[in-house]
Amino acid sequence: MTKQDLRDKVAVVTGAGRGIGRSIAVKFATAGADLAICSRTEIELLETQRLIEVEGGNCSTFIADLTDMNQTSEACNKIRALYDRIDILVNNAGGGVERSPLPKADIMLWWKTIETNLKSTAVVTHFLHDLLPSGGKIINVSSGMGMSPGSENDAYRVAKAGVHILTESLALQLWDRGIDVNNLVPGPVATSTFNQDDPSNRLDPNDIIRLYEDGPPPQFPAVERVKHPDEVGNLALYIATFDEGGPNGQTFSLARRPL
Amino acid sequence: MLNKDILSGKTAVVTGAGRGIGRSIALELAKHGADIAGCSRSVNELDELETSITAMGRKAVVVPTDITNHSQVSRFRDAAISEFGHIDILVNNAGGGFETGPFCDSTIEGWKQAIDVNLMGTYYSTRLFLDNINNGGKIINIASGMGLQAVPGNSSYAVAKAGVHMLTQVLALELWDRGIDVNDVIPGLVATTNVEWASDRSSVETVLAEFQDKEPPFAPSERVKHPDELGDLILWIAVQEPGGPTGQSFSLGRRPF
Repeated sequence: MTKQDLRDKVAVVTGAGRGIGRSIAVKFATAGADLAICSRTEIELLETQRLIEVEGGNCSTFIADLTDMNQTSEACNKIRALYDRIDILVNNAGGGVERSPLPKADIMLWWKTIETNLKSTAVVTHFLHDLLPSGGKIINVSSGMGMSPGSENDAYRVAKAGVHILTESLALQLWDRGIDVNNLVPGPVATSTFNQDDPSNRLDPNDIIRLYEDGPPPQFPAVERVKHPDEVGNLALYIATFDEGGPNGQTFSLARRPL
Repeated sequence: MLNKDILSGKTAVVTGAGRGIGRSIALELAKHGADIAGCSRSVNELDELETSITAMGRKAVVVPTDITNHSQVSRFRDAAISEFGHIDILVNNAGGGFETGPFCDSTIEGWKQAIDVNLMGTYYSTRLFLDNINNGGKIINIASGMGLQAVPGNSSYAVAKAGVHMLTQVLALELWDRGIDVNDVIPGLVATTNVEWASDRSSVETVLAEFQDKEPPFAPSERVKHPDELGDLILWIAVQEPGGPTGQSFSLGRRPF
């Protein structure tokens, strides 16, 4: 069984200010990892850092908008200055921005969605991959929405489809360096991004779960369940603690519908 | 590490439990507290399995069974239910390849055998055990990368495993309101006595030894693994709470499919 132990490991988690990224970062810290966390919103990132330090973990913070090449490059340089090795890279930063279908969309926001989800993953991986040793892992948070078409949210679908294939391609490119790259599909998760909260009034996951306790929103089949982000943290830990030679180029999913 | 009693009070059915992946799965679930009902064709292998499981202090019911024979599977089911009453986890593992050559060399009997063992066997055991699976229970089907991505040769196995993969997804959609989650497992390359790509497949050890330094089949990124690694993965799936993944594939493969 994977040991669920990340002592002496360094993990980078993007989009760690809240939601899934926060849960993954805190879970990894509980398992013993040192964390380098990144997001746009300092107050949220500092709170994640506090939660990690309460667990006795070490955590450094990097504020960056990962749709901006300069900010991303600068954050990665700062990470490189602090760590000579990164064992696990979790590309989690992402989210829905423009949900309207392409014909009606604000085209600038449509493209911004691609940048938020796909560019962030690609650029961070490009700038940090050489710090991963043999046995290193990359986990990309993709989505069931990147595996099927829909009448809305196509920018998000396209971006996540891109992440999905990028993961599989990276797996083919990095295996001979002993680096395994896998997708993590969370299914619907009780985050303020999912609930489309106003930034000035972000709800706690438990409050969001209560909103959906009779069933998921209509774009999901009834079989789906809106879950706590900590469940995604648990899956990320499982993937992160496989021995070298474990799954590579695969997709691990908490979804409750065929994808 | 998981608590050794995490499956205490649970009963798992494992088909093809006499050797290879099935044996590893049965032992891993038993090690973590489950009682086991196991079937396979080999009396000797089942006796060894029963001995190992009862040595752990768990109950074991083993019945020699040809999984392609509905009335034999029915007899196995009756023995399991008579002992345990209900089951929590059904692992449809019995399977294997038979005529692995090109389609143009296939025989009706040989081609059909892979369908019978892999797909009909899964159908029979699931159909027969379904009424006795507890709400909140799990079905785990052993599928294959060969059923997801075509390569030349071994068509009957590929078709059968593609069928198992699709059956997993349909069952997930039908059984969720009973809280029964249905997923499949893609083992990747596993050292068993059934594989067609090893020159000496007399044992798990001979296959592992052969590929210690030799490049694996299908893709250089692949790794020939011990069947116990599948035991670990099935255990992880088995301990997920109801409402977790369903209709999904969990893979130890090392190449995209």
